[in-house]
Amino acid sequence: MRRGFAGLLVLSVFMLGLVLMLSSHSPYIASKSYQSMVTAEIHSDRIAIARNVITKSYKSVDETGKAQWASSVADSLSKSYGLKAFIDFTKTPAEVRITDPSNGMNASFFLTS
Amino acid sequence: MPNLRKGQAIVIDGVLSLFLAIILSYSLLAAWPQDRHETGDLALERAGYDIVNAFYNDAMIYQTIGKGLETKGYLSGGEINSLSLRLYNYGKLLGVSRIDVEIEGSSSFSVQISSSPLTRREQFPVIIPLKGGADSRLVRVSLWR
Repeated sequence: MRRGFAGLLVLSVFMLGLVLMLSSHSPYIASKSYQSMVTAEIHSDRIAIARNVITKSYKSVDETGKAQWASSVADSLSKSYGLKAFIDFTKTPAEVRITDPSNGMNASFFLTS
Repeated sequence: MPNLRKGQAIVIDGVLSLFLAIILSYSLLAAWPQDRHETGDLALERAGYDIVNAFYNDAMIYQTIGKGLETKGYLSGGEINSLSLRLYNYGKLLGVSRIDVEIEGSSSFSVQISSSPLTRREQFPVIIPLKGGADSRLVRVSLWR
C-alpha cells in the first residue's frame, strides 16, 4: 500500500511537470502569441503609413486649401485606415495626432511644407 | 491509519485523472483547428508603405493623377494606361500579384502582375490634394498577394 502510494505521488509530480511543460510550449498558446504580435505590428505599420500619407500630401497644400484638406484627412483618410486624426493648426508648425481606437496606440508629429 | 492512506490514494488518483484530462484536452486543442483571427499580412504592409511612397515620390504617377483630375475631373484611357505600366513595374518589384486602384470620382482600374491565385488583400488609401488642397481626392490602392 505504502509503495503504491509513493508510486502515485511520484507519478503525480511527473504528470504535473508534463502539464506545466505542455502549457508553456503549447502550439495553441504559441500561435496566439504570434497572432497578437503580428496584429500589433500591423497596427503600428498602419499608423506609420497614415503619417506618411499625411506628411507627403501636405506638401501640395497651400494656405487656402488647408481647412478642406484637414477635413478630408480627418473624415475620409484616417477612417479608411481605422484611425482617428486631429490636426491642430493653432500650433506652429501644425501638429497632427493620430490614435488607433482599437488599442489606444497613438502618434503625434508636426507638419512642415 | 490504513483508512487514511486509502483516502490519500483516492485523492491522488483523482488528481492524476484530472492531470490526464488536462493533458488530453491540451493535445486535442493543439491538433484541432483553432479559431484563427485575421491578422493581416506583414509583407503586404511593407509593400503598402512602398506603394504609398510611389504615389507621392514618383513624379509621373503623382502628376498624371493630379493633372488629369484637376483639368478634366477624371483620368483618360491613355493616362490610365501609362499609370498601369508604371504600377506594373512597382508591383513586380514589390512581389504582389495584382494592384487595384479606385480613384474617387473617376474610373477604377486593376494591374495584373502575376497569374498566381489571389489570397490576401490589403488596402492603402492615399489622398491627392487638388487646387492646393481645396478639392482632395481619395485614391484607394489595394495590393493582392
